[in-house]
Amino acid sequence: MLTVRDLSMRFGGLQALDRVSFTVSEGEIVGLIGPNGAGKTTVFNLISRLYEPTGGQIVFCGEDLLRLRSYQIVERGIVRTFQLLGLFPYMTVLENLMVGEHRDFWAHPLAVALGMPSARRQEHDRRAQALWLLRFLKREALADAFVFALPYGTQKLIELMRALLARPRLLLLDEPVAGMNAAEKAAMREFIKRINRDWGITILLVEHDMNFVMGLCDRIIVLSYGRVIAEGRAEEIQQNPEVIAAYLGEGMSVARPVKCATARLSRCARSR
Amino acid sequence: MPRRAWLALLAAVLVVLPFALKGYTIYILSIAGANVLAAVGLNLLMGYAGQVSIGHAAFLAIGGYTSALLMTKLGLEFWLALPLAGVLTSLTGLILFIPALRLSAIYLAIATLGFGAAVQQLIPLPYWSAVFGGHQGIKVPRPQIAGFVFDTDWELYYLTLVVVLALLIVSWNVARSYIGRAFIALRDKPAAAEALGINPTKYKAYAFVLSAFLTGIAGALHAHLVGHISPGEFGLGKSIEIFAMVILGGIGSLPGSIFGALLLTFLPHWLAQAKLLYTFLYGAALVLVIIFMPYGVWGFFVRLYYRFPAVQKLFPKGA
Amino acid sequence: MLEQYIVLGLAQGSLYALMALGMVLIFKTTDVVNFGQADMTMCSAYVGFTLLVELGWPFWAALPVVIAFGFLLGVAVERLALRPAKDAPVVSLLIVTLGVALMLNAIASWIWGFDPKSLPYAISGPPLVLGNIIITRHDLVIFVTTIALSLGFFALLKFTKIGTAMRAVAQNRLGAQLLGIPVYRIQMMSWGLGVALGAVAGVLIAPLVFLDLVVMIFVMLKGFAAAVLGGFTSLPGAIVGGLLIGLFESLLIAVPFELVNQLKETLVFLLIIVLLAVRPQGLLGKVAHRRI
Repeated sequence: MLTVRDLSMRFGGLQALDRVSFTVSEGEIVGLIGPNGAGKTTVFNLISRLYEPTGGQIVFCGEDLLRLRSYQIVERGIVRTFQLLGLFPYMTVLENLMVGEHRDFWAHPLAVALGMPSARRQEHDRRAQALWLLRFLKREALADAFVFALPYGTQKLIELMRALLARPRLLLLDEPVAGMNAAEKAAMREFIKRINRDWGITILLVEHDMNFVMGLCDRIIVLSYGRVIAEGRAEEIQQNPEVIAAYLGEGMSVARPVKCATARLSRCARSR
Repeated sequence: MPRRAWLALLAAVLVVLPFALKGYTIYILSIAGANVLAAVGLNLLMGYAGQVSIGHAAFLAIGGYTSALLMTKLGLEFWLALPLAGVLTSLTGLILFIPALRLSAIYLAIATLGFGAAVQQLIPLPYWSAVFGGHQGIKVPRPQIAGFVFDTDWELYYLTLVVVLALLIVSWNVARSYIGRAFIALRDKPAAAEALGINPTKYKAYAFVLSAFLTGIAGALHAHLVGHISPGEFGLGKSIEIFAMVILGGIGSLPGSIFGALLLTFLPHWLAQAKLLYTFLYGAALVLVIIFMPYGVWGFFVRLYYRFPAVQKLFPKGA
Repeated sequence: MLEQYIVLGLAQGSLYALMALGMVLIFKTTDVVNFGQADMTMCSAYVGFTLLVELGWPFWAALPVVIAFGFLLGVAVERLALRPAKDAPVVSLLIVTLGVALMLNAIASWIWGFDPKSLPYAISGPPLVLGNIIITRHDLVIFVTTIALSLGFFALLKFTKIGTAMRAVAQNRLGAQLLGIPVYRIQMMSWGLGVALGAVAGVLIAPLVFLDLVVMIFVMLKGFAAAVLGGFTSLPGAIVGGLLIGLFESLLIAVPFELVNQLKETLVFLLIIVLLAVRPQGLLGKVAHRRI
């Protein structure tokens, strides 16, 4: 479904990605993992065409994505979420969800301006659709809440719902469970599985929580310093010595690796 | 009371209002109506789409001159000249849209500033003074529909009221639609907006066209109300005045812009009695409003609303 | 002949550069575009008028007083108007500076009236002739002052503690605060310095035009344009932008078509827009990489 071939990205002097290649097949849940700064989010930004790669190819269902502009990606069926929340803070939850349905709004601007019945009906239908999803996930009470006032975990869920309303075939999730507690994580895992199994949506996700990734993904790709260093099923990855060296050997816990600063602090503490 | 009832009440008040006012106040109220349109036009661009403009007076000028010239030179009827003036102005809005594609905030401000200066300098050039009347400007005919001339303050008031209310509904429709949401989405999180399929070029163009249209109509109305138009009216001062209306009312809020426009239209008339103190008080008012209402008058109302439950009962949520 | 226009343009441009420098400094440390710069400059120039003409002081004695006045004015405006409004979004602060400008304008009209005033040159005497260029002594003062002030200003930013603090505040306000830098006091200092730079420009421009309540607005707009052209956060950019605009304006005067002169302002802005279309981040501005 998605083929990434020799993808390279350079920011000034920093080689963020170095000839990265991988594929995602229809129906899979693929995890993209790696230490901080490995280039995971850069891969997402390249697929969603926010960055222009310095080399390589991205092909989705036989179509060269590099020929498309960022806003055209969603029409091909690729939708993403953002690591640092891509929700619009000054809109209500419902309005945010309706932006997710943007590709299904086709009423002519003049029809909208004049309040023609066609435009009103469309607005009404889309609203109903968004409300249906909110009810489906038992969050209908949040419809009129402003997004900035909601807890982080809830915002993550809303963003996922918004992505779903854009009718994805391939869903790119950037740290979907960051900042969630164990119960929320378990619920999210079930939900993602369900999206994949029942709704037939292929998923590529970036996540730091190893347990989450290992328990969810059919296949895992490991990035380190901009290169793919391993690829395979969870058990294979866990035993791969290169992965352990790059990832676990740095004194970071298997759980969410903390920011470099904390790592440095703990090193200081140890040397004392 | 539900929202519709409040709006109906408000409309009734606006219809009856002239009976309670002096002729001159009615006239100022009509002028305020034109300003409301201009402020709403700028707010859609600045508050919703996040595109700063400090050259909006140029659109007022273009709308005003176009409507006047269409009537005097081409002999068009008012009901045709007014919308055409809006359409033509919205096309010139695309001139500003081009730099806006590449430039952000402060750079766009300069481009709009330049646009305003250019229009103000181009109009009085001697080469076409036969048309534009040079620095003196031209006389603008009274609106006229099917032989009926809108001549008194009353007639002009009702005409303005109808046009302004109609266009406020249009603005409201757009602001509350997927287009309005796309404006805000692009303003707050451009990357996320694009990832959801919002084409920034297209929606920036919409914002400029709509804003210029509303402001152009405002300019035309203003010119017909005053009966005269000259390039001197449309300097930086005027652009800043519209800008101030938007900010004082509350950026990103259409009702706020209505308040802002009314406030800044009537304030000078109230302060005019203060003569020498006038400029000082006007400036002090601007400073004090922002200090005490950082998010404008409308933001202040919203805060009051959440502070006092009694008010919430009177105006249920969503009103 | 052309050299003559270049010299005139550079003199004019130096003044724009001073104006731009002041605005950029204020913007960098506070995020506020000071639309009141014109009226603050105007007031400072009027103070210069009182000292030079009404009290008959020599220029070298009046200049420090004018600078001090500008500095205190800037400090007062920050403390009394901007800081109380610090909760407001940045666009609203622009309206605050505008309100302050109107108040200053009113005050100036009470004190000095509406009649245009003329200020004496900094140094009088016959102009200097260098080959085929004629430079007035006043223009010379303008050059020297601009160069001296810019160098002094950069030295202040580079080598003093307060300058370092200013740069820190400009780069990362929260970070600076966490390091114990008194951010508000630094912002107040920046306002003082920014307005003082404008004040210098004011007393140097006033002799070239008739000083009235509005003339400085045009100078400020050019200064603003210069600042934007330079990248708006770049101090050297402000100077380059100012000189460039002064030069371009002066060369436009040299063009023997009447139309060009009638459209001077338009053409200046057109040049800026074209330059910005080529370099959207300004001449010396840095490209901000898109953070997602």
